Order: sequence, then structure tokens, then C-alpha cells
Amino acid sequence: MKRALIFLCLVLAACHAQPEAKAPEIVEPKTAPSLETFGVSETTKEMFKREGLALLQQRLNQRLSKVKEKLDDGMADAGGSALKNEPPDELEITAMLDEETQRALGAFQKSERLPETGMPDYETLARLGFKPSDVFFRRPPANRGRSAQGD
Amino acid sequence: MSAVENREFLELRANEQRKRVMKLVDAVDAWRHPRRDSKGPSPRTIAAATLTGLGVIGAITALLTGKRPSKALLALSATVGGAGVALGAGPVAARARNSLPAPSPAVVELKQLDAPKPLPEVHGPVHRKGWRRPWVWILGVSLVVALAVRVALNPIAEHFTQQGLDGLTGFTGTFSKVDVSIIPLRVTIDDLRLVQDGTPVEDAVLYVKQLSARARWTNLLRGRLFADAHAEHAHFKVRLGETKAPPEVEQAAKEGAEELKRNDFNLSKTLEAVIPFRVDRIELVDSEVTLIDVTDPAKPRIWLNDIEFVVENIVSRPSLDQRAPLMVTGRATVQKTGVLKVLVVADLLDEKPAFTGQAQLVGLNLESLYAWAASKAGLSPHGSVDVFVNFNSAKGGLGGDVKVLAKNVHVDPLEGKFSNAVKAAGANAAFNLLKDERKGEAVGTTLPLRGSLEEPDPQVWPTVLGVLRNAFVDSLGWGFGNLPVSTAKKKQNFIEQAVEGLDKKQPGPKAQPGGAK
Repeated sequence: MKRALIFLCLVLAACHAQPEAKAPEIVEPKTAPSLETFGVSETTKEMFKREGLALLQQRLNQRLSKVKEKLDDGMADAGGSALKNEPPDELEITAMLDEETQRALGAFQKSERLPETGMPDYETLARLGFKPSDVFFRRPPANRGRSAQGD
Repeated sequence: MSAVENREFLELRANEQRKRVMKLVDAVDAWRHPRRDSKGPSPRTIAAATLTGLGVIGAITALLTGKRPSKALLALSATVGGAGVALGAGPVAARARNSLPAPSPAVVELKQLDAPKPLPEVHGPVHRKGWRRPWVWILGVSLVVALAVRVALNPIAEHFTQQGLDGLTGFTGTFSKVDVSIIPLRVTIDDLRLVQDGTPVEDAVLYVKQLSARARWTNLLRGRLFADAHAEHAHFKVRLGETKAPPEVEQAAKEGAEELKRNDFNLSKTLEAVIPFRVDRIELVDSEVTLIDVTDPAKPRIWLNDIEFVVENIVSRPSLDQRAPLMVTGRATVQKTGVLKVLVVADLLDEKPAFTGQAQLVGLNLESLYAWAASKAGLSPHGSVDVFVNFNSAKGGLGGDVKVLAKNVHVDPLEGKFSNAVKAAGANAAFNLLKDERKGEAVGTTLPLRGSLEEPDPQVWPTVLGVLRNAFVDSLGWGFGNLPVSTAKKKQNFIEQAVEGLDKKQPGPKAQPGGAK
């Protein structure tokens, strides 16, 4: 019985949630974001959680070298067509879904044999260790705040 | 029956009862202290093996039924399995060390009782042969049934798939193989082809190399369906003017549109009537779409290839979503040159669908549209175009903007017709008039997008005024900063729109209230 209890304690300790990553410092761009940046117009700027995007860029930076290694080894090529997104060396933490972030996401998706959209879909976020709600609000901007759950 | 026979019978009965009691005593004793030479596994060993087995099965189920195994199920399996291992570890170690205690007195007595004695024939044989035991039969029959079901599953699935395809009027559906898997629960269809009747097989409206759909047992057992689907190398070929949707689809679309027009269509209520479900993900990988205008003798075509498309989080109840909206993302190459990207978040369970999204087409080389331009207008276009669309909708309304950026655009007339030369000269004059000398020969405008969901309505005059304004007033230094275009307080006529739209002191052309053109 003692052994079972010790084992249970060990399992519970292993399942304990990891401490949340600290939000990185966001670098405000000096020029207007390019037209290829998603989620910056008045219409769409509230699609993403700004801090979530910053964390996503930070996590991508941590993974980029491994992604490049994987792609260079040709490990990801067996599953699909040629690479559509050349990954950048490092992302600036702009908290925006800019063209470089899209390329980094596309390369990561390619390395994971996911559809290479370059967009932060939920499966991609999960493989980077995020929940959908870390980056996206639960409702589109127009419906937000209409219910208790409308975060 | 004689007195002796009667006594023998009573003795036998007494012995049987005594054996049962001794077995019980032995079982309790063995549970507490597993002993050497004990007959068969002790109950403690059985319990330990059962718990360990349950733990292993639970862990395998958690891993098989989801890409991300359920943490709770995994923790529970680990706990149960760990308890089993802890329970069985002691006796196993003692057995390995050969340090188990001697058989209990009850076992010794049982052995004496079990010593072979001639039994009267009337009581029949005491020991049954293995194959006569009921559990052997149950196990055997279950195995045979499971095997038969497994063998028959694929042909049955193929039959029903073909039946479903045959139900489409005006189309012939074929496939090469259907494969059904139980764990994980998955159906895969290979080489699915849908051909419109009267057209050649190579012009199939739809060809999918592999289509698979998967559901999770864990959720099915809880009375709800969580599923995902994956299509690889799907090719849609639409022959404009010839390809028609099956009448069943047309009818359903017509009824849906009528309900929408009557304003009594409530998707949320409709979905509540069906089984709770969540489609986690629908993927379209390495796919293509070909549009061919067969009404034109030149049969011009538009080709979208390298399509990667994902829809996620489609739910029938708000409580089933992943605390996130429905999401559509996609990427495709248009005419081998332009890159199309889409990202939309939506809430379909509201009274009226609400969504916000963005689409971009960047770097479309107009020369790749030569066949269309030549057959429709007798012109050969040059240059490239970028299009950026932002949209936002709620409560049946639609707002947003379309930004068009044309770079180095000019057209050449096709030989043979004077009218082509006139059209080309007019178009080139317009482009020359509007181009910005400083910003790479580009012409840009912003089209306000307003209207109801039924009739999205890009407004013509604000668009035209936007072209002029961007060319002459603002040049091309704009971004998305002042978008979407604001709406005029009251409806303006063309003159008012023109004066305000071209006035440098004003913020720009305004969309007109009520979606008016």
C-alpha cells in the first residue's frame, strides 16, 4: 500500500502543470507593418492575443535551429512537396503575425508534416506547447463580451 | 440404495463441503502470505496482474485514441498499473528468492482430500476436461466472432460507400479500396473519384488520392463524437458552364438559402438536434483546383495548386469548443505565381454567424492570366497584382475593405481587331495617369466592403474615388492604419462623395450607409 501511495504521489508530481512561460519583451516596429502582416488592420487587429503571439514567436525562436536541422536532413521531405517557406534565422518579438513569423510557422509545420499554411492553426500551436486560447480569443471581435465566456 | 452406498454418498458430500471451506481458508491465507507450492496463482497475484493489465490497456487506449493522450486517463492508468505492480512486486520477489513460506495447513489437508479415491459411478467424473469449461467456449466464440467481424468489415464498408456514391444523381463515384480500423476508429478511402455523367473519366470533378476520417473511442463511449478528416492530393476540376452540382446538393442549398432569407434559420438550434460533436480538424493537403471555362472556344483555365487548407474546431455545442473559435487557415499558389493566404476565425453558433478574417493574394503575375484576358477582352496583360482583403461580420452584417495594388501594369492589344487596340490604349492611359512615379509604377486603391451577409456589396463609387485619391492625393504611403473606410453619417450623392473623397483635408472616401452603391 505504501508503495502504491508513493507511486501515486510521483505520478501526480509528474502531471503537475509546468509553470507558465514569462511573456517576452515586445519590440515595437519603427515603421508601419507590411501589408502581408495578419491581424493589424482595424477590422482584424483583435483576432489575436498580443502576448500569446509574442510567446509564440519566442517559442518559434527556440525551435528554429532544430527545424532547420530537420529540414536539412530531409526528414520532412518524405511527406510532402518542396518547402514553401524558407525559415528566418531569428524572429523579432513584434507580437504580430508578420511575414517572417509566417515563414517560421510554415517551416515548423513542414518539419512536423502538417499542412504548410504558415498560419497558427490549433494543431501547430499544440505541437509548440500552446493551447488555442493562449493565442486566440474565444469569440470573434464582434461577439466578444456578449457572454460570461466571451473572452 | 443400500446403507453402505448411502454412507459413501454422505461422506463424499461432506468431503466436498470440507474442500470448499479449506479452499476458502487457503485463499484468504494465500492472499495475505503467498506460499511455496501453492496451486495456481494466488488471488493477490491475480489482482496484481489485473491491475497492471488495466493500467497498460488504459495507457495504450490513451495513446491510441488521441494525438495528445488524455492526461487524466494516462494518470489514472499509471496509478492503477503502478498499484498492480506494487501489489505483485512483493510475492514475485519472494518467489524469486525462494523465500515463500511453506504451504498452509489448509493446503496440506486439501492435498489429502484430493488424493485419488475410487468414486462411485453414480456421481460422475469430478474433474472436467478443459474444452468442456464454459469460459473456454465463451472465449473461443468471442475470438471467432471478432475475427469474422474484422474480415467482413472492409467489404461491408466498401458496399455502403459504393451505395452512398450511387445515391448521387448525375454522378458516378468509384474508389479502389476502403479500409476500416477499429483501434483507432478510422475509415480510409483510396483513389476516390467522382465523375459527372457524360464526361470522360480524366475530367473527374473530384479525385482524392486518400481520404480518411477518424473518431475517438473515448468520446464515443461518452455519447459524443470527436472526429477529424484528412484529404491528400485532392483535385477539384470545375468546368464552368458544364459542371453542375448533384440535384440533392442544389436542393439543400436552395432550402438553406430560403431559410436564411426568411431569417428563421438558427444554426445553433439546428445543431442542438443532432448528436453532440466536434470536428477537431479537416485537412486538405497538397491539393489543387482547376477552373475551366468550357463555354469559350479557347477553354481558358485558372489553376490553384499546392493547396494546404485546414478547418478546426467545428462544434455543435458551445461547451465543446476548445475555448477558441472555429478557425479556417489556408495557403495556395494561384496560376503558379501568386500566393494566396487565408485566416478566418468564426462563431457559427451565434444567432447570426460572426466572423473576422483576412485573405491575401500576393505577386499574381498578370501574364499568367493571358488565356483569360485574351479570350475575354482581346488583351495581353503585363505586370503583377497584390490583393489584401479584411472582413468582419456580426449579426448578419458585413464590413471590411479590399486593398488592390497593381505594379507595372500595362496591356498589349492582340492583333486582328481595331477594338482591341482602342481598349489597350484606354487601359494603358488610365494606368499611366494613376501610376505613382516614386513607388515603383504601382496603382493602389481601397475598396470598402459593406452589406448584408446575403449580398456582400463592394461599393463602386468609393472604390473609384479611392483609386484616384491614392494615386493623386496620398500616393502609396498608406498601410492599413486608416482602415476600414469610415461610413458617411448620411447617404451622399456622387458629387458629394467625389468632393469629399478627393479633398486632401478629408480622411478619404466614405462608405455609404445601407450598403448603397
